[in-house]
Amino acid sequence: MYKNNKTPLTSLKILENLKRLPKNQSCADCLSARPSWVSYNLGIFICINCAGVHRSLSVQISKVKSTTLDNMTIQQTEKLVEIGNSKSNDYYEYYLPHDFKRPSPTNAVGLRQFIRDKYVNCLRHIRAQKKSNRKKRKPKSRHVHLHKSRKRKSNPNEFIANIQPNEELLTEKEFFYGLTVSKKDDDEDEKKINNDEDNILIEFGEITNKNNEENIINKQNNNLEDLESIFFETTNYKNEGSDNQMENSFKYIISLFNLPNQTLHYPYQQQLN
Amino acid sequence: MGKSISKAIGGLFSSKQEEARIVMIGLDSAGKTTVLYRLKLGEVVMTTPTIGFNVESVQYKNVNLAVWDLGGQEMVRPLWKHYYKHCKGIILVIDASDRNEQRHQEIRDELFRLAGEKDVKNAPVLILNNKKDVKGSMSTSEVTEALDLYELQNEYYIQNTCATMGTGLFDGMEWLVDSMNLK
Repeated sequence: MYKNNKTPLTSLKILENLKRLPKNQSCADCLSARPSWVSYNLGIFICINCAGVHRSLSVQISKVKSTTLDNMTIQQTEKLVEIGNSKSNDYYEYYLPHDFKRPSPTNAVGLRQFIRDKYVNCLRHIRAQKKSNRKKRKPKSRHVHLHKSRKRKSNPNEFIANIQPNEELLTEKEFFYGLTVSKKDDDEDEKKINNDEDNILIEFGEITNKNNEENIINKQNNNLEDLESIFFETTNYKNEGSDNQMENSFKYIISLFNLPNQTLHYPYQQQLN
Repeated sequence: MGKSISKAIGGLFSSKQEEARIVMIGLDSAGKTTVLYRLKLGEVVMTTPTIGFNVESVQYKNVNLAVWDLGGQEMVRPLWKHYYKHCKGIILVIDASDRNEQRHQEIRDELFRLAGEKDVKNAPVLILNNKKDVKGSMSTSEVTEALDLYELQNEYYIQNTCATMGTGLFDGMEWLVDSMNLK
């Protein structure tokens, strides 16, 4: 068998443990069961069909690897540990209507459109809107506004239809790591946007809080042991038997003492949720 | 006399030409499958990561080519060497938009491992610098530096392409067909 000495065995272990978590049991985009591919810069688990679409988004947006056919480094698994499917969907599907029907895994065209909207078009639209809102303060030529409004109407989709005009969207860093980001003056912001207009991963402002800066550095220096400790805390309950068995045994113990059920609550419930 | 005439006429009209075997390699998500079906069908197909391989017969300038598109995941790369036997030419597909040095190292290792194989010692290598339409992608000179191509013994040619739009693909194929020793 082929063995690569560069990557330690522990990254495989981490991936195995992550796959077993309930939040990663279904694909982040189409919800099909047991996804075996990952996007390691977005920190999500996806199925092979969605992996095909993610690859077509270019490496600047999504970097796809297989959990079984590729070797990954510890640094690449870090985001998978920190983010995961449920947290990622909280952020990227914030504007998705509740009655939205997800495209089925076999519907290639629908899936492609959905993933493109979710990771690219929605964020791009919001940033364009923010930019235009700032520009409205200063009077500018009328043609620019006309052109932009036409452009927006030309591609309406489920995501963009739901966005309210003056809503503020947190950046990825703010949402996933709880960092506070202070905004600079408008002029400087505009300059920044103008410089990398096509770059999707732009962030507004700079981090000012020194404690937060230290936090980031600590996170970057995360050792392998720290990562593993994250895991075992979350996965330990799995070893103690299935959920139903635990609940039944707990009820049985309560009944022995003739206590009302409502006063006690099931201790593993919180962890599961 | 009659025999020789029939032989000459048969030679003109015979379609029994042997297929030249070509192997297409490259890292995962470089665009190998998209290139293959662009050559075969002339359209963009929606692809999923290749597990195993795809083979299609492609005709270009009256030359029949059997193009083997192999999967690019790290675990299946060691299997590439089993496809090199009787192989007349090699297509190496590179993602020009990926400037990650580690990835360049990986493909460089694979390329020089390939060049060491006996079966493909004299085979021309066509390097497709794919996804050239992406902003900030690598130029041909940057690819030469990143892959240390001046150390390569095989004959090679770098072609900028964009498989989704189809630009540059046939220019590259023309070079490959011309430089293959087909008899």
